[in-house]
Amino acid sequence: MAQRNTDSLGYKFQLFMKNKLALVGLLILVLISILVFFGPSLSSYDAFSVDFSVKLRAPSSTHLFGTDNYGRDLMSRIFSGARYTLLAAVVSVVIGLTFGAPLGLISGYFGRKVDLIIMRIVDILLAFPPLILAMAIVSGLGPSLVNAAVAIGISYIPIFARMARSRAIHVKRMDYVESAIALGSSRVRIILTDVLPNSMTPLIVQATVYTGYGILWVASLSFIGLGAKLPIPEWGLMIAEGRKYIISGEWWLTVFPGLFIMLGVTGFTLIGDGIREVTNPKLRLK
Amino acid sequence: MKEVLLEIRNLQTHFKTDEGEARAVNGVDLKVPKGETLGLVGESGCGKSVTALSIMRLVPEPPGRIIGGEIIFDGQDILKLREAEMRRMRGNTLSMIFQEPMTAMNPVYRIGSQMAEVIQLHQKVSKKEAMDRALDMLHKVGIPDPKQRLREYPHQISGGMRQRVLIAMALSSHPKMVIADEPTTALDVTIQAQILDLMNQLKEEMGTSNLLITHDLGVIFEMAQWVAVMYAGKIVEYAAVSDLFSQPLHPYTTGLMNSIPQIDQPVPKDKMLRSIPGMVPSLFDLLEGCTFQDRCNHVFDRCRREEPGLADLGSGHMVRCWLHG
Amino acid sequence: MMILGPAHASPENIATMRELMGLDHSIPVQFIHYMGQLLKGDLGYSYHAGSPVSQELLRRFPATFELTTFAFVLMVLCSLPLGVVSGYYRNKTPDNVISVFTVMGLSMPTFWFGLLLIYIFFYKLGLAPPPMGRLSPDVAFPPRVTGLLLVDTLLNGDLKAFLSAFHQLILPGVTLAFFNLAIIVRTLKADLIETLEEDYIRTARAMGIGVKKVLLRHAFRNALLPTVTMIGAIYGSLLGGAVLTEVVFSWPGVGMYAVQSIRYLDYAGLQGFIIFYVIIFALITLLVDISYRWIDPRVQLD
Repeated sequence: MAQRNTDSLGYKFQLFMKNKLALVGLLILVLISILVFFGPSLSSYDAFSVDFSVKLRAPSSTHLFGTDNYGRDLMSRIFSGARYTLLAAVVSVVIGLTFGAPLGLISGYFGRKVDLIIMRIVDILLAFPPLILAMAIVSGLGPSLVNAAVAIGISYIPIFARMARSRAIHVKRMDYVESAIALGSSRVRIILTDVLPNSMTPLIVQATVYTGYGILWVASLSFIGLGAKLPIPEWGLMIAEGRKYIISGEWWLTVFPGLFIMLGVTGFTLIGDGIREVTNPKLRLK
Repeated sequence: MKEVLLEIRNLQTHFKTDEGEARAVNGVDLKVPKGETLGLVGESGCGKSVTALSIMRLVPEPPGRIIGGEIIFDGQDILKLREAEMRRMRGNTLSMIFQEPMTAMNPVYRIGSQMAEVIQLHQKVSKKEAMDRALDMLHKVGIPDPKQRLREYPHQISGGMRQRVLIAMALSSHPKMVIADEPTTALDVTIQAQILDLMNQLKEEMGTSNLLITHDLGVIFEMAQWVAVMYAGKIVEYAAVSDLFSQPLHPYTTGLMNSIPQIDQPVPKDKMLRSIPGMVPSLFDLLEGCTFQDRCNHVFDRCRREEPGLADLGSGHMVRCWLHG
Repeated sequence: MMILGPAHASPENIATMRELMGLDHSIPVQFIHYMGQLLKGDLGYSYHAGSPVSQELLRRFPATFELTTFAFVLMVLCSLPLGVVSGYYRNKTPDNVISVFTVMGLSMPTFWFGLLLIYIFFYKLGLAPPPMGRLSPDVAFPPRVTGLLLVDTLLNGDLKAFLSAFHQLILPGVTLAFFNLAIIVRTLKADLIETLEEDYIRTARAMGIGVKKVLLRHAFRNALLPTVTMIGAIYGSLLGGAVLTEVVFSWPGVGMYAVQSIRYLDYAGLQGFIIFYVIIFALITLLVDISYRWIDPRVQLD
């Protein structure tokens, strides 16, 4: 029998496509990407135009998601707001990855004193839940959506550093890396050619999943007033605005933005799980 | 041959994987006589351990599944028993010892409590009697200061000692049969000999039958009266140990023997240690004909067309090969 | 006063205020002063609340502690059985149902979930009290002993107040527990599945111990180890999540205080909250280390 190459990208892609949940995740991601790029033009209303004559209308055929307290169409606002929430989440992961991963690789690969110092700092930072750390950072930088993204990014640095470090330590103990060291390859070269490529998959999985969580944290910071500012239709901020109306029964102001947050987080989580399953042979046996 | 305690007929155990159905055990037949030891020998991955787990009905399911065959133990077909009946049998009349003593005991319970749990499961005794019985057993397997050991946790004793504890646990309810899956592979050479001696001595004392799984023909020679050679999910040769060593018939068996170094004889220049050429065939879609055809020096037409059966050549010597069919 | 805006403040007022707040010194001097005071347990003065920060935090902490502990107990009580069921019935219906809930729990914003609960249980069904604080307005606060209302009302022998306090606690407790519940169930399930593949589980099965007993006696305790380490982090995360929950339910705890401090640009309050948080977190980590020793005999505390 022809031995199938289970390590080839094509084969992994096939497996990924066979994983129904991962496909759902992919579908959600495509949908969200469409919102991010074309959001404002997808709805017939303007996200910012105020019309008090139609304020607080329940969902109907003219306003599918209803209107808010300024008479703005909620669906337009959610569609237009996708880019703020999503981009902030992506920026936070990019920051976490670009600073955290090299730090972790260096720490794990060099070990000893370097490792000790970097990891002590990482441990201290990890003791804070991202929200608390982000609160501290935003309070220093001043509240804005960009600063929220930066703060979440900073709180991600130790998380990615941890992951990269454990990979680096794992790869360093591999026979082929030990032989490369014995043959006198330079450390920088080994990190770039052996350690980094072998750490990519878990880092990608983590980046995907944490983009999802990033949506949650961005929305959370906006909700407590540390993120986006009015009148930006950022989803968490929309929930904060809708909050006053929930006890009088105008649920749609809160429910719809929340559903989209959930959708976004679920999408990224499912894709992350999918990649993890495809790339980890241990999880593959059914 | 003496009375048979365990007889396996055409056992098939398959595993579902992403690559397809792996036929780990693909029609195994063997017999273990009462009070004797059968050695089951073969390369890693040939299905020895899966055979053992099938007898215990502990094949992880999914992905594994016993597809067919019969396992007659002490007069009844184990595969037809209900799980509750099977459970009463495990550790009681039918027991098993595993390869890795370091990880085979639960790290969070004391040795005494783990042993007593098993004893109380199969014997109607109080906790205190169970502890006394455990103490007896530890004494029997030659553990120094057994009273102290009962109060210790597994990580506090050495691998050899742990294997002794596991043997004591497996024998605590006087089983009729013990399956030992590579019981000494993970241990130091000197400890290996001690554990094997112990197993032999206990077998004599308690009259148990053993199924000893190993990849080491030397161990078989020391321990077993009967031997079954397994290859790619099937038994290819079955014989009394003396017959097999004096007259190996299957090319695979000969190959295995040629790959053992003989310490007492210098290796002649033209007769170096020989490995068996080629690779074990895939377990997914097996070839037509004999499973060993691609690695065999004596292969001829028929081997590629038809699969040989296990032919009995008299005095219990059986072989699956067209050379002797 | 400054918060009311410079338009209302005369230059003299501002100068007096600056002096009072220590802002007339350079930043390094202010920092050294702050650190010095910190060593004495003084976290500064909170201008929006009009009281010393440490006093305010201590006054409010019982409310947060009561909420997080209630959520914690709720979470542990639900997550352990759910995790075990999920691991045992892996990939079968019970596991799939639980998985749907855990995925939802992990992808829902805490505050949104809280608001949904308010809508359903307060507005629609009328089962829950209005989401305003720790006691119904028509019930008198008991004399403060521990600051925990569930305890103080009982000490006071006031059953009505106790029930009211409990009633007020349910929705915020569930809200706070849900996200972390999902995390624990997932971890426990994964650890359980991994543990079930250990050699000693096979040994136990080979000795005739039944599947259920193996699961509960042999696998569960070992699978609990990673979960217990996580529980410390989870309590930390509950304290963090409490910030959002307290805002949603107008719960007068330290998290609410931190958010108010941010709104009023009152940094002493926020810094105090964070330092306070670190101290609590260190204590929890210590407790977890100790309980680890009890579950896993291989761990030796030096």
